[in-house]
Amino acid sequence: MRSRGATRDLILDAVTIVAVLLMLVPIIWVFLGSIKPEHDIMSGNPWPTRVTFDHYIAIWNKEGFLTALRNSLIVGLVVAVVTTFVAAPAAYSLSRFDYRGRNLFSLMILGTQTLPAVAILVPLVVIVRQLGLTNTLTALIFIHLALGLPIAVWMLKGYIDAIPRDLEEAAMVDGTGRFGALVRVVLPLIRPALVAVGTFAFVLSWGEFVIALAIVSKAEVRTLPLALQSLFDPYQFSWGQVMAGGVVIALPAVILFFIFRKQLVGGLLAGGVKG
Amino acid sequence: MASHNAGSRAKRVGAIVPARFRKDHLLPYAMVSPAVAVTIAIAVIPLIYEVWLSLQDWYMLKRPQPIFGGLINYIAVSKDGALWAALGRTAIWTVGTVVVEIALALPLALLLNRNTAVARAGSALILIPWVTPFIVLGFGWRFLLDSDVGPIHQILELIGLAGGRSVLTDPAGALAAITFISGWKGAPFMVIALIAALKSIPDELYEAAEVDGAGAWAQFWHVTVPSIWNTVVIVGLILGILAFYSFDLAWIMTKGGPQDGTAIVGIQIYRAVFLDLRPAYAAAISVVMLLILFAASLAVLRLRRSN
Amino acid sequence: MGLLRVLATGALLAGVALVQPAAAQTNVTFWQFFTGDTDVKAWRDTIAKFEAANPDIKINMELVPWSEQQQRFVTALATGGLPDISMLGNNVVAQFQATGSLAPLDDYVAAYEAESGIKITDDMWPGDQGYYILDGKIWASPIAVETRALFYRKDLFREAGLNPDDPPDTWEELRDAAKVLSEKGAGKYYGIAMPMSITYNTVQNFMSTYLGYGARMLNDDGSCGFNTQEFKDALTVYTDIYKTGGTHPDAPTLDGDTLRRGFADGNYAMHIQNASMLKQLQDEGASFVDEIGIAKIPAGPVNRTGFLGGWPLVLWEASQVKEAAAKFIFFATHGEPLRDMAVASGFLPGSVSLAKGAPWDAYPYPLFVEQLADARPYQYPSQAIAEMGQLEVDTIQKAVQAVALGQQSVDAATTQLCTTINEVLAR
Repeated sequence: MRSRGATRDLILDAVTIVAVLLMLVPIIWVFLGSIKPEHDIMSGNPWPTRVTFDHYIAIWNKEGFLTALRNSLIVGLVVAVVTTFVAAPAAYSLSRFDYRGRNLFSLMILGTQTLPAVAILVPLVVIVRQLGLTNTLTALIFIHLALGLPIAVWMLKGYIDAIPRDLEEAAMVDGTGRFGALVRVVLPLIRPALVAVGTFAFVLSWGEFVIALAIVSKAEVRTLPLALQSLFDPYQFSWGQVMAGGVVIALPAVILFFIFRKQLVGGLLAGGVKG
Repeated sequence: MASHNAGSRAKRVGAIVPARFRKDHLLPYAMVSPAVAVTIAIAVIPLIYEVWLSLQDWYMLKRPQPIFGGLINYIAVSKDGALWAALGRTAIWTVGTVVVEIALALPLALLLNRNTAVARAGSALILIPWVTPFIVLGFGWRFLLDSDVGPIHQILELIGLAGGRSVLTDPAGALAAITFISGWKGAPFMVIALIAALKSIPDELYEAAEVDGAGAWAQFWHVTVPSIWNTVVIVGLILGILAFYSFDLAWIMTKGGPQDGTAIVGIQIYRAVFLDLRPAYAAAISVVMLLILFAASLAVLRLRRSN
Repeated sequence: MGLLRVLATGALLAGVALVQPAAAQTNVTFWQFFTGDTDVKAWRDTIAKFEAANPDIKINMELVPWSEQQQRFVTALATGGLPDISMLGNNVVAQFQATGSLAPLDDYVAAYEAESGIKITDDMWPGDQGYYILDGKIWASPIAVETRALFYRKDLFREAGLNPDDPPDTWEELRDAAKVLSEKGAGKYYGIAMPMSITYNTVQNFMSTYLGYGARMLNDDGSCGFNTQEFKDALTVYTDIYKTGGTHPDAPTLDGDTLRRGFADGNYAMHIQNASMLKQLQDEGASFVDEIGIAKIPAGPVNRTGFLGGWPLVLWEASQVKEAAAKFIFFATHGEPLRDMAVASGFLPGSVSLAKGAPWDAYPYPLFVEQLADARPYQYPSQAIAEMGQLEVDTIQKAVQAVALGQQSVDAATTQLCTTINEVLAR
């Protein structure tokens, strides 16, 4: 990696800090609000004069909140993993092969994205009910798969398209089959993209509300967006709790990403800093 | 290092061993079938139902079960002025959202695509707007735009974009504001996609450009941009489609007002189903919007560069 | 031969099963809208009491947050999965009744009245009767009622030179007082926390104005009745509160919770709110809680009418266990169980006899209870209409917002409002 000295890095770091802080201004306000006593939240002063963690404690103690957290984590992680595993071969297939039905399939998959959740709600719920899968995480996982699949396939296809075929063909000459070429050559090269795609699928599932609302009515199967919604009780409305809820929902996603962020670095064709 | 030799050798190898070719014949289908199966289950079947539903006459207040209605819903859609106005607004909203996303994401991606601790931490933190629920962000932004105590409102006032009242009280201002917020919320994903794309640009390209005497700006324009262009188009398209149907932000912040200034298609569909209790009409709207969106997507896909 | 034997055994078993008395429990699904811990506990206690008295009935309570009710019910209407009993917003009872998905309670009323000695319709507030008795049948049993009064800050009144013991009594006085208070407040506080936005809150306040001026939403023939001078006067005086500076400049976009929060934070001198406002100020230890005065909702030239909020329990037509469900409905909506719940959760009970007794005979409740006698639904004096659920969301509010922001004149806004309403009614 080319580096033109620590000074350049330092300056860019400073600019980065400013840029990220600017980008996060509303988030910072929400976070600060979550640690202020109720009365101080809407005051003109963004900085807390008094700090309290009551809102977080209230959320933590709220019935079913931990269950919702667990459910969202399970669904999100499974969806992320399965989406990536389903999308990668599909993207490879659409990219590397030419066969009858290829264009139809790729348009179908993209077309899935063009349907709004509200529109497909009713038929999906009917199907789920017929299958006896209401109030199950399984149904939710399956439906959430469809959320991230189109972009996963299309994004991965784009990255795979950009990889020269010679590399796989060199590997195949050495005896690995097509599938082996996919796994051993292509996947490592698109690792950053796989992480991006898995992240996308996770986040879409994590925040999904409309379908979850339609399928889940029992407390044990609730996901976080539903749990957050239950904070909006018309008679016991606490801004602080809502903000704390928002922070609690955002946090695990960020932490998970932080862990997997390392995967974004690396890959054989890793590029350097330019611009 | 890939070279011509390996390629021609592979071709010759393939010609000598036809049995491999036979096994490979099914492989493409096998690899794409899970994705297609999910698509059929989650999208195709519901879509068929939606089309069927759109041909029914079902106003829940008058009829508990639907009866066949032919094209009445589509005729109603064609006459629904509010819906087409909403479509126009939605076009502005969608394009605006994507433009904001790209404008915010590109500089951030470039800054975060480095190997310092700050860049690593930043690329995780930048995710937060995207993962925070709309409803919480709605409150946050409302406060920031509050004409009394909102800091962003003060700034807008200074540069003359806002008067004594919050921008949300003006139909055009409200649409602009929520478009920006929508772009701000979606930008993190574009950042990540761009970082992944930037990482796959080989160093050699930059070195070659440098050797040719290109400065930083020229390198950006001639190496970086072409390399990430397709990513921008695809991710922009997907984010655009997501934005097209989105309704949470507009509903939470302005309920479609003032004076329908922020009534976008997502809101109209939501209204038709849950408030007006006309699921068949909503289905017709969905089918029409789907066709429009699909056509638009195909057009956008043409913007891609071929490799 | 084998098949015949199997069939015969099957028939025998079936016959035996039919003859057996139903020893199994009856399960009743109940969708409850309040998720606050106190409310959930209060309901659990009620259910426990009921199940103790009725050991063969089990009530399964599911928490469906208030804000999700419309989506949940409409989805269930389309796909199946409705509960046996649920709460319901009072103004959408007519909507669901029109879809044919509610079951009338009349059959079960007689049984309950005989057992308890309470005459159901006598125990229902007149406004509630307007919401729940449709086409001569009873479709819901009220749990809670709500009405709003004018909360005001005596200290800020004094500061502005207004008499703290003589709060505004009419909408015009309210408008003038708000203006004076705002001027004195000079940015530190505003006169009144009054919504002009597209939220339920706006129409909940504004309905008092237009009913007070004698306007009515529907003519006797069922068409829009707002196109009258009375309505325009009401619209003018209400929006003038904003236009003369009596409230926050962003009132056309602020929602009810923000305004309520603002009043609790001391940023407004007046606020129209329900009885729980006082309790909230006390619980939060607001510095000015001793300076709070409560006055009746302002009157118009024709009468004084309060907003009627609240929610009942309803029985869904799809239920297979209607008798057991109805038993629970009446148990929970009258007598001691309701009183205990109302006290624990802090709402006014929908039973007239209870509301007139303790603890609602102590400050500040009597004023609210008194107002309940004149609290009416939006479409008073017409019968409740099924389309109210659609109209309540944004039609009237759009007119208020447009006039407040100066985007439409009162006449234009009123005309457009009636056009919209008639269009919805014609569907």
